[in-house]
Amino acid sequence: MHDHSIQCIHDPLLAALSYLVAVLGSYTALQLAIGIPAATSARDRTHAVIAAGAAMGGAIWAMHFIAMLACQMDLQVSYDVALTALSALFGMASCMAGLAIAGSGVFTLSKIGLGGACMGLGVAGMHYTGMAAMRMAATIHYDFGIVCASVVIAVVASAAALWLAFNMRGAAQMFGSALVMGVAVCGMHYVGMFAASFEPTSENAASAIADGVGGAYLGATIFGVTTLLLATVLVTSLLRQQRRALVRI
Amino acid sequence: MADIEFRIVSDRREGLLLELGRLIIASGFTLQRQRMARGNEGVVLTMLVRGPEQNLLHLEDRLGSHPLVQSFEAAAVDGAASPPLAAPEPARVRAPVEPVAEAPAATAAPDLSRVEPLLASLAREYPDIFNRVLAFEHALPQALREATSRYAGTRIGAWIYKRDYALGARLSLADSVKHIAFPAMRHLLRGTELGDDGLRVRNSPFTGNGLHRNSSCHFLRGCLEGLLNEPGHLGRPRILETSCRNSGGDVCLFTFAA
Repeated sequence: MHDHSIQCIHDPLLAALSYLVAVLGSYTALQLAIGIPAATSARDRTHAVIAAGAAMGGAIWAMHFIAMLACQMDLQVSYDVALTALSALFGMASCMAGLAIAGSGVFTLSKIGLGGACMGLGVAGMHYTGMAAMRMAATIHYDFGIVCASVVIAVVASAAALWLAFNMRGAAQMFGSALVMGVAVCGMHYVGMFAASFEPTSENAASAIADGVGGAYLGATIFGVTTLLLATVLVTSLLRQQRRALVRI
Repeated sequence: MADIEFRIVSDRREGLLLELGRLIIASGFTLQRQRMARGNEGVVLTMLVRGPEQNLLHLEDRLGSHPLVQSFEAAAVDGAASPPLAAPEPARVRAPVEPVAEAPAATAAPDLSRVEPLLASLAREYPDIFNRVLAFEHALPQALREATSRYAGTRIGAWIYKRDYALGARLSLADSVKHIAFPAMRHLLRGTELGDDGLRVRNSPFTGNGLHRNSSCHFLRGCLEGLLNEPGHLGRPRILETSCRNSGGDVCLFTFAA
């Protein structure tokens, strides 16, 4: 155990909600992603990659900041807007790359490994950029070994989720992949948080958080992202049902 | 052991010898000699094969249902006195091994006009389709039964693929069998199992109905072809019913090869 100078106690309800959002986002993203191999033109393929990567990156981002809201510290915290946005972009770009690799050509394990590495590094990159966006009267120190473990969890679980999504069919493809990807995102986050210790500084708390946005703004943005993911799930599943019914024998 | 000379007519030269050679070996025969020539009917492949007599009907059945084979004739040959294979001549073709009435020498093209009206009903009733398929098969003339039933199967298989299995990565043949063909067949027939040797169907509705002599699950074979051909990236995998309950097997076994 780490002797954190400032303790982070996670609210169990919000922590559970963070997993739910990760699973919901992963479901949305992977349902969009499995359409990548079926795309009939380069344009359709690009659209599918962008939509799936954006959904996955958005889900990782939303999960991270719900989990940060769940982290109750005896410390005022705000978030740097530019770095917070950059963390979301980083997650999205990495996921687009990973899904594009996994969805190209004939399925092979090496593609899943490479795609999983991109997505896992995207999850980790998003997390640590998001952590760097924290503004508070404290500094963060990381246990390097545990940081490495968090990255390995993200990469391995992402590869497993991609394998399920692209290789399987049916319920395992739809739900199994999303549940495993949720483990990748949350596992990486909470292990990463365990690696962090927050050391208080002598800086004035008010000035430390002055140039960041607070939890209320963050909550509203998370609500927006989650609503968008839910709407995408609904629209995607309605469109799929419609197309399925229209398949001519 | 019997020596048999087959005269096979096909419309395609490429891969013909390879495909049929594999089929012959899979049926327990060895290829002694062969000759290919282009004639008025198309490509004529003459093959002298040797193997166990009890497997002959099975081999003929598989040749007759092979998509590359338009028609074939079989003749028993005296091994010691067999002449070298030259251009096939009717004079050297001896009495057919099987009476024509029991084993039609030529395979007919599927009757598409009969299949089209059936498909809409099958789509409506899927997955409970076998009563209708059996009635359909029963109503077909013997000469059309195999090709037409198999064609109906391919259409259903392709439809199932597009409906339920099209999303996801392009899989290898082995993974396609495991993740597409197997669950799709199990949805149709609960007694379907995936073994090391292929797909095993324990309760094929096409066996024991007196309509066929040997391998009989042409609709199921067509269905598997539709499921595996529809993605497009696998080419045309060969799907064979290597054992059938109609010919004494414990199960109907379907094998797959690229």
